[in-house]
Amino acid sequence: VDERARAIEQLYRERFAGYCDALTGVTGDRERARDAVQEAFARALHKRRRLRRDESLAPWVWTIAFRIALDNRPRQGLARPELNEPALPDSARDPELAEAIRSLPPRRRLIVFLRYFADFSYGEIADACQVTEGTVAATLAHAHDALRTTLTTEHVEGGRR
Amino acid sequence: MTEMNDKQSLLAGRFEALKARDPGDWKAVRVRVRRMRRQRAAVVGAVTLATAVLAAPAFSIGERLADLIQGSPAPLEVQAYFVANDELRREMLARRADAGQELHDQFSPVIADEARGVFAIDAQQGPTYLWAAPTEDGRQCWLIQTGTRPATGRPFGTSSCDGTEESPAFSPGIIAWADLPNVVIVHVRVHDEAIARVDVEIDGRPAVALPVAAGHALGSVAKGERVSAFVGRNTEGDEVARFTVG
Repeated sequence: VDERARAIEQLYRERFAGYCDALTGVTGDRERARDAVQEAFARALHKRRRLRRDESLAPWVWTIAFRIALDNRPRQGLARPELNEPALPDSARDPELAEAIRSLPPRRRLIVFLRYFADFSYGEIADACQVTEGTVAATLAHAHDALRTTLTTEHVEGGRR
Repeated sequence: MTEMNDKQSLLAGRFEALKARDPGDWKAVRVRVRRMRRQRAAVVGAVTLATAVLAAPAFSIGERLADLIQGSPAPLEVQAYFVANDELRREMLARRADAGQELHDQFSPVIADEARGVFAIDAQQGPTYLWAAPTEDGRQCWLIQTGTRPATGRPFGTSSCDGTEESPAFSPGIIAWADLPNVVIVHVRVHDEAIARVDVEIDGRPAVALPVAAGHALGSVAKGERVSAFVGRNTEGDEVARFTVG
């Protein structure tokens, strides 16, 4: 087994669920997200030698999955809000967090998902979203501030600490 | 907040509680890969002739081009060889102590009636053919045929199949037969689709380029010459993979 194949398998075992969670936030459909992630890892394995030496594996696979998910969206649903408006999957389990996420601009939501669902480093997020690490750090800092305010306020109003 | 500590944040904890515990299905990923390889093999098969014609000047090492197989189905004798070989593989695997799921994973029936010619070179004692057939899960089996038994018409030579392990960029081999007293056959099973040709580096003379078709490269080298390395190159001539002969 070559090194890249081994690295792809290891990435799969470590982050499959996280990729699915993050992508579900984009597609709004867990099964569609899961299928896209499966297909993305298969394509990555099949085309692994196309990965440039200076390219990080995790964002490369994510980008493949993201494109597959968008390409496979239902034709009548091109304007479906969940594609442009990433949302917390299974929001009923944490409606406060879901509401707080909704308060963020879509781009920040995706970065938050990649950070906390898919466990991406700042550098990996930067590669996946084609932005600088500084932008990632600033975006996450803003997201933290916004979410901390929202969640803390809701906790206080709800009598929870 | 820094990258180091934002994972300990309130936010991170809330997300952690929502994460799915789905381990995925790695085997299903590999099945998809095999399907992709099989689809690719079918496409490559359709363009094999064109590839071979374009590459004809470098087709054999110092010998004339014997024939180009038109990509049409292999003769019935060759198809029968694949079928018989399949049975042999099945029997051998069935005897393994760890048969079961392992057997299921390793063995995939060959589709003999989809066998096709990939190369034919003149290896001094007559033509040497390379026939390839897909397996049901998208791998390949192949036969390098050096002759035909007069009594039965059955081809003989050496055959092999792709393993289930993830493949390296390419797998070179040097094959010597008593029937071929003057040459050895060099065969390279190429898995990396970026590799368009394989350079065979030989001590004391320039490297010889073999074209890749349907995931194979085939040539011959005079006995006594020492092959020092196989180098896979892309269409631009850049090195993609190298195997140094020890």
